[in-house]
Amino acid sequence: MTAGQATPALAADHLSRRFRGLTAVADVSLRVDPGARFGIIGPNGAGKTTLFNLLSGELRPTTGSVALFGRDITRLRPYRRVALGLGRTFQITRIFSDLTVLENLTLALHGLSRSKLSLLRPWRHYRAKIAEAAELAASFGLAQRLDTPASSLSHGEVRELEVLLALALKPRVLLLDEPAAGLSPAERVDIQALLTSLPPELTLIMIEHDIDVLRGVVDSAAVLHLGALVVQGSMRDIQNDERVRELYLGGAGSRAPAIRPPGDPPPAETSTAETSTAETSTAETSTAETSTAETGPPPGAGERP
Amino acid sequence: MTAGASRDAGRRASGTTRQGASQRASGTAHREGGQEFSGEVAVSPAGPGLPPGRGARLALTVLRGSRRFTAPVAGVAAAVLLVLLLQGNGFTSTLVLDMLVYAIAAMALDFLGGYAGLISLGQAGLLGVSAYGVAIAEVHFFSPWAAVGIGMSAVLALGLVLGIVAVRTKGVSFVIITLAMGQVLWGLAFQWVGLSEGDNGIPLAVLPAIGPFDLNDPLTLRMTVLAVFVAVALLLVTFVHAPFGLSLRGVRSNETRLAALGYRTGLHRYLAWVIAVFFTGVAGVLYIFVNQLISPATMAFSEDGLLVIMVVLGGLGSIWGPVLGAAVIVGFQQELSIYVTRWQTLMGLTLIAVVLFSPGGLWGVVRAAGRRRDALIARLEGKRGAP
Repeated sequence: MTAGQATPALAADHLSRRFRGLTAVADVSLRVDPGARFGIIGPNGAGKTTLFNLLSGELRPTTGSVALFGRDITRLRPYRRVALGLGRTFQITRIFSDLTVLENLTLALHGLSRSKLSLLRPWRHYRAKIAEAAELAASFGLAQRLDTPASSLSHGEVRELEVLLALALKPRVLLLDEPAAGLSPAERVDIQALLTSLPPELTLIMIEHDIDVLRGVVDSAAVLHLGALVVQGSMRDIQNDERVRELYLGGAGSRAPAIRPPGDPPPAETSTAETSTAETSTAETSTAETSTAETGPPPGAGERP
Repeated sequence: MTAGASRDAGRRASGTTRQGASQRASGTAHREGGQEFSGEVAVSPAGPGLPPGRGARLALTVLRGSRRFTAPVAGVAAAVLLVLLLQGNGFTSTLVLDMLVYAIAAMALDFLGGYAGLISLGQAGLLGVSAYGVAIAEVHFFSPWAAVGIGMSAVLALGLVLGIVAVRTKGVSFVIITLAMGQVLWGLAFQWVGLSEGDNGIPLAVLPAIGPFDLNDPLTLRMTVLAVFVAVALLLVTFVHAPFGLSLRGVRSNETRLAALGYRTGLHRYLAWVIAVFFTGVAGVLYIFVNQLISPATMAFSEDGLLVIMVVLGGLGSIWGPVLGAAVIVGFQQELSIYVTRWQTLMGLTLIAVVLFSPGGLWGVVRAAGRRRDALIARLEGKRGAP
């Protein structure tokens, strides 16, 4: 992998989005290197999903620009960005619930090929695509569910399918909007296992409420608050940052902290698997720190030396 | 290391629960919605089942044969029946011809509404455009074949233009905008007397012919309409099973997600519209061949409504269902109206009954029977496969 000055996989430059009077995203600049595992953290209403929509093209920025591997994509519509290798999942799960799992995956696999406009050959006759769909499903425990309508999948399976849909397009950069939202602890382990098993060259950017999920997967992160970037850096820096702790602990009173400093005992309800994942990741963050230091200095947020 | 091992254990554990769940679901592969519950009970190992033995084996053979042969046998039988019905010169063959023409228009509307989710209330107007195109061209001394070309070109050109506007909307807005377009077309036919002869309509004197193939011969015309109907039906069924058809179901199910998978969804909706307009145009040409008269009444709002009723009654999103719907509605309109003055009341009650008891329309009944059969097969196979 080339050194810090290589073209970032995804870069946001002074990105802002205003809705009437409200500034949902305010002057956010990010640099995510190829192959990085990058988290976006922030309390409710921090503008995380709006930022994602700006990156993926569902929304146009009021000011600022987005670049994918050095190419300006600010004015491209979502389907064009997908063709350039930018995949995404949604926080409010979006799958094709009227369709079976196989049909869902087939749709995704045809997404970037000309065959999606094919009229005469039945989609079941595209053997290579069907085999690929079955393989994808098998890679994540959905092999027996291919003919099940997506509407009768469990919530965990739906989230898995959502990630699989995005992976089917073999993106170079994958945006994940709270992949673990609403999952049981066991399902979280499943999704964490999937995320850690992704190919290392894939750049991963994920929004997450729960920093425990991030700990296993992500090496660096940015914290958003009220649309603005508070801090960007390695996970350890983030967890030690006074402002971040203030943000999460500040007005929360006696509520359980969402961010725990490393070394604190995990809450009782987490499963053993999750605990061990969290522990290994703490060790990982220290080794990964060198690469995360390369992400550019965020404006308005002083980077710790 | 320990982390990895326990993670694996977690996945294995959840994997087995999934397998259990999937066994339950395998018998109801084509289940839609939650109405079909019987399948789940049938496949569960502890559920009631037939005793294994010769009877069960025989039943399984019969059921499998039915799964394999019902569709082709029914298709051939229907074709033979239609050919026979179209032999006579009487009322029956006229009725069947009308059904076939409207079935083509209804299938086109189902392709648009049942798959892409775009219910159009302007289809009768477009049907009228191609019919008027043929009639007006012939009035202006074009040859019958050229008139057909002009009629089809007119409806396609109009469809290409209107689609740019119409397909930008969806849901109720699409219904309203297509309704408005249909009404404008109807208004033109009604009031542009210089071109359309107004309320009187335009008769068509001569139909196209090449050598021995002469559409002016009633039997040739009837067989041609049947052949075109079969061709359109097979084409549309092919389309909906192709990746493009799947993409339309994706548009209807979740358009944002489809765009995030690299689909230019607007293009897909536009193409669906153009295909539907084309086949509606085909129905319009056949309409004027069969009736030899086109008047504004054919394009009226009530006709738009009838087309939508045909599709809903037959079963949205099934292509074959609207054929049944067209047969029932045209039958009511022409046959029942002879005996019952209030045939529309009966039609309304029928529609209510079908929508209440079979949300999938008439074709939904056929589908449900197929699902029950498949569930039964799975149940019998499960019995035999058990150790």
